Amino acid sequence: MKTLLAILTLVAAPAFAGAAAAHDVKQDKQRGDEADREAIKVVIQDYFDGIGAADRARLDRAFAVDNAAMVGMVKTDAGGEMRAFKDMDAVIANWASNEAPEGVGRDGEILDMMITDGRIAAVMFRYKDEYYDVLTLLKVGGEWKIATKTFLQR
Amino acid sequence: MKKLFFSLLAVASFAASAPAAFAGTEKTDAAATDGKSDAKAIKAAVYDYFHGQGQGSAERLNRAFVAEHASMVGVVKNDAGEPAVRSWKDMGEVLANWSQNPTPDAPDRDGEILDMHVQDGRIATVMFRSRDRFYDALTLAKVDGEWRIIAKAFVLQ
Repeated sequence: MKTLLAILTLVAAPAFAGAAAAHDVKQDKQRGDEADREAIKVVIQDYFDGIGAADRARLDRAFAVDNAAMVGMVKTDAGGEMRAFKDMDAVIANWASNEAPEGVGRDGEILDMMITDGRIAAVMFRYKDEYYDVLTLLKVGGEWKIATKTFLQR
Repeated sequence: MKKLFFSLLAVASFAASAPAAFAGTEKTDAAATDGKSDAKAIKAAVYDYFHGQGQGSAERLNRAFVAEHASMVGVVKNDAGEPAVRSWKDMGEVLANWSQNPTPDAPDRDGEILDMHVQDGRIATVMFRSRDRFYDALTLAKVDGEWRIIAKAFVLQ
């Protein structure tokens, strides 16, 4: 597992270079096994950079596509609105179809990560200065996948 | 990005929506009073879910969840006995099922909040131990001043 993580880290390093802050988990909030924390960081970066690069492969790697769901809270003239996206495959297809993606190296930051029993996790993520994301992750077959995403427009 | 986002919203015509008030002055977690108040309200929502499930109380469950928007995703054993991800996208149906099946040990079931993180006074995560059977990762949002669960992920213990 450690070897795999080392390889993943090396492969992904160039993509992460411009977004080092995304790995800045508060020390006092770290919980769980170090290998799990590192693996979850890779998944979160796949999600964040996957949108940034409109990279379907990275997004597919990050999410449990067939089962994941997303809920968003967006600002409107009336105050705010909650919207549910229950077909994650359609959401990912939309992200991946962006013909003018912003690219990797965007500003993102893991604000908090909690892991229980090495199999279930929740991450609070700052998505630029636009959103807070809550991502819950499940480990199946040794791989962490995003199960739910909730975003709050700041 | 905003253009993409809103086009996504437009395309996602399958998604239900309902007016709610999320906007407002951003608060810092340093506001201790607000923090304590939020933690108390979040705890109440989590136990409305847990005891509502145990008691088969549709009222408590629907107070805890935003049923029309929430989803549940979990790791369960498949037909081959192997761990597999499964999802429940109709939370209203899930709550209805729970309401009809109270558990014998309600209301004295053993549940525990293991961890909680509140961001900006408006969105939160809770890690919860549901008896000796499940671990839940719950996502909550403050909707019209009330903390409600909008996503649940779980694993069998």
